[in-house]
Amino acid sequence: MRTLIASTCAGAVLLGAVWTLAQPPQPPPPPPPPRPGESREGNGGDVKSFLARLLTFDANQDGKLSKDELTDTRLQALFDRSDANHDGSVTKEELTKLYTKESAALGPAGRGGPGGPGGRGDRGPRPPGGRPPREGANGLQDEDHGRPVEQVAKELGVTPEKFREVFKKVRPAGPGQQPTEEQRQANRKILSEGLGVSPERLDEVMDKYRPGGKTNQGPRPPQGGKRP
Amino acid sequence: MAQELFLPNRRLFLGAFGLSLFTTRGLFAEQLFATPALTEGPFYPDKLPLDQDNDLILIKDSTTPAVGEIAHLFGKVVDEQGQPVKNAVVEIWQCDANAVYLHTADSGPKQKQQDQHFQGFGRFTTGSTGEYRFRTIKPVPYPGRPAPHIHVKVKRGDRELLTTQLLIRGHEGNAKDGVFRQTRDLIDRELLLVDFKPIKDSKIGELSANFEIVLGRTPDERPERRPQ
Repeated sequence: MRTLIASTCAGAVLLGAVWTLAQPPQPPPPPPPPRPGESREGNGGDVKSFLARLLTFDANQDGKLSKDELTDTRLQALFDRSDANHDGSVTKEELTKLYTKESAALGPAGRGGPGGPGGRGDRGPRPPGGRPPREGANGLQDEDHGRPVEQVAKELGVTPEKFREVFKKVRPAGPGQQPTEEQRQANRKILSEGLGVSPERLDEVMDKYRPGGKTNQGPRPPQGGKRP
Repeated sequence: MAQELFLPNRRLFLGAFGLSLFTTRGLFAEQLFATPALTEGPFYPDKLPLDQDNDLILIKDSTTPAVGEIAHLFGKVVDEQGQPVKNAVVEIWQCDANAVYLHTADSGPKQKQQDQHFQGFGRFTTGSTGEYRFRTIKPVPYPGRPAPHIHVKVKRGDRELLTTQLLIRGHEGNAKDGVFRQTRDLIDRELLLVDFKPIKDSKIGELSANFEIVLGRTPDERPERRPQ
């Protein structure tokens, strides 16, 4: 059995090596420079950047992607979904159709989604792909759970960084739970003292920007609490 | 090798070599798409279990396995050029088959519900190939999180390089999941979806799941002012 494993693996290594040698060593073309008025960033952005990112795999520059060209196996399923006529190759039209269909299916940005002021859009350029989440005790992320942090901070007279920093100390309720009165008061104290504003002013501003409108409760995580 | 790799099935071993296509692209490409980040959530264990190995199904010397569908999770940690990252500590954590997390905030109130035989957390340090693997259970939904998921964290030295989650490709809960819906970019969404495929030769219905981790540049590496 071991010999079988060893020889099969050796065969697989050999195949891999042969494949490597057979491939002409040419880098795929760099992504096109942004046209005037068009931003290169746009994860969660537009179809142009979606197409541009995928077409970096277009090694022979024929405007289409073949299965062989798509060397990132993680995108295979996306490729298969896009290849509507199952001809083993994906055109810009097919990709655009898929993009339109699947972006629509996502629906409007949910609670905590980026949209609107304070969303991802006004945070300036960032590299494509992954970015580390801003860590907080209650798992606050860049999206700030729909709160326009820039505006809230401005009204309170602090920097957005300071706001987020102080907000990290807020004790969250458990998932799916509302904070107790005790927790609410404690959180309010933490925020008003940390930010240097009166609790009343804090309530006023937080209520103004609270997603879902004003409630009687003080600062609290969005409904449902942080999501495990 | 300092750590035991799980190689229960030669098909899995061969699967690792299929990744040669992926890494070869890295040699020629400008850049691989970095694995996107997702929130850490509230349940990164507050007390690490005594057993922190890469087998979440058996705790220490216990012979009673965890409840759930056994899944072999494996992949490679690479940088955006496709180069393997050595000495990357990959950690995973997830709720058990009864939707209870190891974290005391969750397991405390749910003692009776908790699967005492599920380790809940695992760790693996990559060698020179950047490969990692775990034996765990296929994730299940959690209240408030219709998308089953496994939390993943990658550290190196004292730096956290990535915190994210992997989801099950094709699971109906994904479309309704608030956390996943925050990822609006179609490519980013794709990069977090994993196929849990039945292992053909397994007599006990084991699954295999391949999750490649591409590390993008961290804030420490970007030319930014360091926080004090």
